[in-house]
Amino acid sequence: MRIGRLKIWTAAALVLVWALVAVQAGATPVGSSMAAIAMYKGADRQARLEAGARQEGALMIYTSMDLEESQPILEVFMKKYPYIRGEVYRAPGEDVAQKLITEYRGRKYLADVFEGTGIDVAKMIKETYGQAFFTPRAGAYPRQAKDPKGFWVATRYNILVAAWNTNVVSDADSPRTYEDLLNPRWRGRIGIEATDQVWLGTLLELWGEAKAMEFFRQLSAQQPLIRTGHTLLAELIVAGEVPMSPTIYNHRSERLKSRRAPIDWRPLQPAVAIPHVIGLPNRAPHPHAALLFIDFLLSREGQQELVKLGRIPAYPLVNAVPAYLNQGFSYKVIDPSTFLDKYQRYDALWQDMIIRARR
Amino acid sequence: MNGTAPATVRVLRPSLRARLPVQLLLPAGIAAIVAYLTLLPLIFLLYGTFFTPTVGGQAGTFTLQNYLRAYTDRSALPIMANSFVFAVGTMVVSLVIGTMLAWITERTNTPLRGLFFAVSLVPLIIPGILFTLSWIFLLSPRIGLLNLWIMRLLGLSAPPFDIYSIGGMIWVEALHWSPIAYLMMSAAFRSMDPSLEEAALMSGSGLAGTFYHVTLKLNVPTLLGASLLLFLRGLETFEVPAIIGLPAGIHVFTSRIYLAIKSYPSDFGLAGSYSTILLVMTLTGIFLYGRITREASRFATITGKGFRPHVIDLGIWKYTMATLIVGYLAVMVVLPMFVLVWNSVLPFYQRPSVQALSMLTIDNYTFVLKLPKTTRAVINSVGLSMGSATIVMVMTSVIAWITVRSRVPGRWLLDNLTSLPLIFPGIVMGVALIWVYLTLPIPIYGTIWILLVAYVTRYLPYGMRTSSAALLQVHRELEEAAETSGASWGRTFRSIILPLLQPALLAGWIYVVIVSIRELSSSILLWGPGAEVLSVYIFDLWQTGHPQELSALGLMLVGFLLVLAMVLRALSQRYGVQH
Repeated sequence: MRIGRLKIWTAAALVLVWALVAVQAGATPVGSSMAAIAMYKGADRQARLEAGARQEGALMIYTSMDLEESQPILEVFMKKYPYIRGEVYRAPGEDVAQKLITEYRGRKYLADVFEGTGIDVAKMIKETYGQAFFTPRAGAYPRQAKDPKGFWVATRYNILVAAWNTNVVSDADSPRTYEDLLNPRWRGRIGIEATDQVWLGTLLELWGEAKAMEFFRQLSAQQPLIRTGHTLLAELIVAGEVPMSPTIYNHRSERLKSRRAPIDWRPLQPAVAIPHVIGLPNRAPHPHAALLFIDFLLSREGQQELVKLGRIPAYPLVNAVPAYLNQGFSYKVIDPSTFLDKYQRYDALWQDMIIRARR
Repeated sequence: MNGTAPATVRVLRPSLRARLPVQLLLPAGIAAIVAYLTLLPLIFLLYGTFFTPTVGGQAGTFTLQNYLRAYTDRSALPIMANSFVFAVGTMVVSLVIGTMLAWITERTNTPLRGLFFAVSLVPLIIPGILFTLSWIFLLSPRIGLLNLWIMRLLGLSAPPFDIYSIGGMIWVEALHWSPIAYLMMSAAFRSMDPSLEEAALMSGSGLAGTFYHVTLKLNVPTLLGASLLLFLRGLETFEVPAIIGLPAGIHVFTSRIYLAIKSYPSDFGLAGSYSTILLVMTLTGIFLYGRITREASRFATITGKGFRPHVIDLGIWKYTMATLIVGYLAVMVVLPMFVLVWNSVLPFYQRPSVQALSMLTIDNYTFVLKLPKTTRAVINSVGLSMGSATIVMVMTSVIAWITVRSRVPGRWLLDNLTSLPLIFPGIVMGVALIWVYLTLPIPIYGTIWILLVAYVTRYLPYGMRTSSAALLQVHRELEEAAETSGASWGRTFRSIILPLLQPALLAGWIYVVIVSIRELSSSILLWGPGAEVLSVYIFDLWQTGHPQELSALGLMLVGFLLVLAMVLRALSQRYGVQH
C-alpha cells in the first residue's frame, strides 16, 4: 500500500511539473496607431515596416489554409524576414472567424492576419474588427479581387466544378451543363457538399430568382447524396461511393487525377469560385509584421508558392499549374459582403431544398 | 490492507478531533471547486440565452424568443424522436454487448479472456471519425466490402446492409461505445462476491437464470450508471450523425445546436436554449437514478465477509463463449483495422485488388511523421488526458463518498452539480468556457490550462457515475469497522475505500484518458498555438482531405495507446489490490 501511495504522489508531481513546463504566456494588445501604420503610403514604407517588425519579432496567422500549405509558405516568409517568428492557427474558416470574433468581444487580441474565405473574413469586418490597409501589391489585382474599401485582397480561389468517377461514368455521360444535372440518369447519384450555400447564392444572383429556384427545386427532386467536406466528397468519388458531384474543388480533383485516381472533372459554366482573401484585424498586436506578410502573400513570389502547392492564385500575372485550372472557362466570384448580408436567406433555402430533400 | 488497528484508547481522542474538520471542510472545499467548474459555464450559457446575437458590433438585446423557438418548434419533434431512438438504441446495444463480454471475461472460465482486455480497448482508441469511416467502407451499399463479400458468397443481387439508416448509425455508435460498457460492467463484476452466484447455481438455477436474477440485478447501480452515461453520450455525439446521419437524412438534436452556432451570426442564445432541453433530460435521468439507488445497502455486494471472486465453470460452453469473443473482436477490431491498414498504404482509396496492390506505398506514414507539431500534439494530448483523468478520479471518489456515505446536508446538490456538465454538448461547453475565461481575469485562454479545465469539467460526471456506482456496492460495515478500530477518516478513505474502489477507479481513469484524448468539439475552439492536441490535429487532417495519411496516424496512435494500456494494466496488477 505504502509503495502504491508513493507512486501516486510521484505521478501527481510529474503531472504538475509537466503542466508548469507547458504554460504559455498570452500576447498583449497594442494601441491606436493602427490605422496610421496600415494606411501609410510613403516611399520608406518597406523600411518602416521592417524596423517595426524587427521590434515585434512575432506574427500570428489565423487561416483556413492546410497546415501542409500554410507551413511551407510561412517558412519562405521567415527565410525572407528571419527576425519574425511566425505561428499558424489553422482551423475550418468558420471556426477561425468565430474564434477571432469571440476573442475580440473578450478584448483578447491575438491574430495579426486572417486569411480565409471572403465570407469568413467579411464576418470579421462586419463585426467592425477589420482594419482597412494599403498594400502596393493590390494595384496588380483586378477590381473584383479586392475590397473597394480596402479591407481585404483576394489570395486564391477554390473553383467548384463537376467531377466524376471515370470507372462508373463514361465521358459521354458526364455532365456538360447545369441542366445536365437534372437528367433522370443522375437520380440518387449526385453528391452535394453540405455547406455550399455559396453555390446556391452565386447561381441565384447570376440567373435571377425564378430560374435558379426552379433549378434547385428540380435538383432537390434528384435526391442528392449529401456529404460534408469537399475533399471527402472527392475521395468518395474516387472510391466509387459517390458517382458524380458538381461541388468539387477542381484543384483537388486535379491532384487526385495526377495520382492516377479514377476521377475527371469539367467546369459547368459559369463555374462558381469561392474567393479566399486576406484581412487585417484592427487590433493586431504585430501590425508591421502582419503588413509584411500581406505584401508577401500577394506578391508574385508568394503567389508562386501557392501555385507550387497546387492552389489557384488570385494574382492575374501568375498562372495556375496546370493553367486550365482557371483558364478557358468562365467563372463567377461572389462579393463576400453581399453574400453575407443575404446569408440567412440562402442558408434557409439551402437547408430546405438540398439538405432536407429526402426520399 | 496491512494497516493494523492501533491501540484504542490513546488514538480515539485525536481521531475525533481530526475527523470533525475534515468532514466539514472537505465537502465545503470540494463543493466550491465543483461549483466553480460547472456553475460558471452554466451561468454564462443561461445568461446568453436571454439575448439576441451580437451583430456588427451591436450588442444583443433582451429576448425570450430563444426559449419560445426551442420549446415550441414543431419541426424539432421528429428530430427529437430521431435523437431519442438513436440514443436509446446505442445504449441498449452497447450495454448488451458490453455486459455479456464483461460477464464472460470476469465471471467465467472462458479461454482467451486474458487477451481480451487490452484488445477490447482498441476501438475506443480509434478516433470516431476513422471508426465511422471504416464502417462506411465495410457496410456502404455501393462500396462496402462486407456487402460485396456477402453478395458474392451467397449470390445475392442486392446488398444485405445499408449503413445509411438509423440501424446503421446505432450499430456504429454502439460498437464504438461497447468497450465503455464492458469496462464499467467488468469492474463491477470483478469486485462481486461470487458466493451469491454459487448459491443460485447450487439451488438449481440455470446459468441464464443466475446471470439475470443474481449477477445482473446485484449490479443494478452500475448498470443504471452506465445506461445513463451511454444514453447521454448518444444524445450528445456528433461524428456518427454528421458522417452517416446526414447522408441518410436522419437529423438529430445536436445538429440543431451545431447549426445554430455555425450559422452567421452565431446564435449562442438559441443553442443555449436547446441545451436547456438536454438539461431537463439529464436532471430527470439523474433523479431517476437517485430514486432507484436510494436504498444503497440493497446493492452492497462488497461486505466485510472475506471472499475471493471465483469464476464459474462453463464446461463445454466455454468454447462457444470463446467463439463469441473472437467473433466480437473480429467485428470490432480486425475489420475496421483492416480497412484502416489498407487505407494507410494507398495513395487513394480503392477496393482490394491486384491492381491496387501495385500502388502500395509508405508515403502516408512518412508524411505524418514529417508534419510539424506532431510531437507537440502527442505530448500535449498524453499529458492532458492523464492529468485530467487523475484529477477527475481523485475528485469524484471523494465526492462520491460525500454523496453516498456522509450525512452532510445538501449532498444531493453536490451530486447534481457534478453531473451538470452532462448537459453541455462539447461545442457549447467550448463557447461557454471561452466566455468565462475572456471575462474573468484568469489568464489561461489559449493555453493548455483551459483545455485541462474543459476536460476535467466535461468528464467529472463520468468519473462520478463510475465512483458512486462502485461505492454503492461497498458495504458501510467495512468503514465502520475501521472507525471502530480508531482509524481517522482520511486513513479509512485511503486504506479501505480507495483500494476497494480501485478496479472501478482504474476503469474510470482509463475511460477519462481515452475520451479526453478523443475530445474534439470543445478542443477545436479552445486550443491555441503551443497547445495543439491530437484530436484537433486528426480532425484537421480529415477536413483538409488526408484520409490515407490520417489512417496512418490513427494506426500509430492506436499502437501507442495499446502499449500504454497494457503497461497500466500490468502496473495495476502489480501494485493494486490482489483479489
